[in-house]
Amino acid sequence: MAKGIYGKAAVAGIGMLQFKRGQSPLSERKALVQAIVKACEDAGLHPSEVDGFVSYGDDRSNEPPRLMPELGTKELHFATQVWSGGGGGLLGGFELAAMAIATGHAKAVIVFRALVEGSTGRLATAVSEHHVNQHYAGVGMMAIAPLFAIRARRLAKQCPFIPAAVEALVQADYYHAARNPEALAYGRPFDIEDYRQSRWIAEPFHLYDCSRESDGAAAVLLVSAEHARDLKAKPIHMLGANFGAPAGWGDLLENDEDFSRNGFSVTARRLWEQTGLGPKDIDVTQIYENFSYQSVLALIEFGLTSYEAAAEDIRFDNLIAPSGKMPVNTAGGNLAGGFIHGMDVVIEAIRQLRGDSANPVPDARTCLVTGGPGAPSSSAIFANEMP
Amino acid sequence: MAGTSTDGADAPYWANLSDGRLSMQCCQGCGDWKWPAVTRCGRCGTDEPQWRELPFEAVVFSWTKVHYAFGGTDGIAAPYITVLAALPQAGNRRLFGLFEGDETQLDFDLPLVGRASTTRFGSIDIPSIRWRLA
Ligand SMILES: [Zn+2]
Repeated sequence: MAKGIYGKAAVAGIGMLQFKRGQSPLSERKALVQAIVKACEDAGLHPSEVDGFVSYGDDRSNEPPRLMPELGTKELHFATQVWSGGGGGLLGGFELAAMAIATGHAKAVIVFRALVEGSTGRLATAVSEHHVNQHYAGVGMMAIAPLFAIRARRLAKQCPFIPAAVEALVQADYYHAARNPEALAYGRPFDIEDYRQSRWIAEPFHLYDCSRESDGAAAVLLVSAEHARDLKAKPIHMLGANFGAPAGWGDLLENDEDFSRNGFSVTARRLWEQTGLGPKDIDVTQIYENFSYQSVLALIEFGLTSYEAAAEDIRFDNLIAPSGKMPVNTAGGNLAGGFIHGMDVVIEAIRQLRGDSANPVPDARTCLVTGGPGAPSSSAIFANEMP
Repeated sequence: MAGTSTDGADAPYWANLSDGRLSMQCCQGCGDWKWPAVTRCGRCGTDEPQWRELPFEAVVFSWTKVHYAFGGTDGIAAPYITVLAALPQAGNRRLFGLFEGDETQLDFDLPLVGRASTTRFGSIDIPSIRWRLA
């Protein structure tokens, strides 16, 4: 496939403000504007120079032209968002930004997501509204958690190693979060018994299987690789990013073809084609987590391990920094770190590659980021030097 | 809700279920069972696949017991069990339903029989299936 965006764009700045759900002192607009300004300050680029904006996940409030007066935008050239109601579009936003930069349609593009419950309500409600119709409402499937719980139960039947792998992943998330001052679960001791004893949400999901929806805003500034060299922050190169779904996946009233998978096959295959890299070239991984069970599958579907080796590979010791062979979610992931609809894992990818992570992976050069499960999904690879 | 149905293609499903009958779409061009309902078969290109009546017979594909009272579930007191049932007579296409009966026996692949019912949702009654172990 086309390698048109390979190395063309780089992350020049990041900005994130995160609060416990319902506790943001800022309105959603204000949090977003501040996150964008922070990302620009990080890069040493004046906010008025930003000429492109991308979001995903049904952002209905933060239409880019409305941000112009507060950012002092000189000219707007590119404003769009990725279809799909959930975090499946996460890295699709980065793909679009890089395409705009590579073609010269925009010079400085912000990928953003903002969520403040007091301004626009619960994320969970918005995502449900995207998917839920009368078929779901008639059977109490009014949220994504019970829908993914149904998938998780079938997954665990087809892949018996999954519950143990889920515990390892949840434990690794809380381990990293406890050591990350910006994580919602910072400083919180976590025992696997806390997980096992926590209340049911929808079986087999306990409370700790579900992401911690946060208030806040996150912004990532992308510019061309050449432009990034002249800016303040160390450029983090985007080697590839894409969005997609295989046949037999989509909003199909739970008729997706294979419940032992997540529909990652297209985005995973294309990511390796796009970058010329393979799973062995990945030093650290940040997984979008709405729910624990589906996140484990990301490790398998992207080839970091296999169905056969998963029981051996997905162990707590292997998943943690700095010593694990397959470090994941080094800021605590969406389960324990925070959840601004997944932007947290991209921000951590950049911090990790800059050497700024609270849980550094020694000599990390490449970071894989995976988008929301249940196709369409998306993925990207970032690197702190061009391979 | 994102519309009350899947773009209207499934209107016959709702009309039949309100009447106590179960029906799904099967393409007259290629024999493929379609679900969700479609206006065109993407496999062979046939327009308006036909509706066929089916018995309320299925097997357990998966299920969840919901403990948290999510918004919009006032008409179904938590905890409740939602079953995703596969219909062998419809190419194993899957349909939801609420589970009734003895949950201690519930397991994968067990045969189910169903009936048409309704679920209160806000000010309307939505036709929906109740599955129980055969
Ligand atoms: Zn056909």
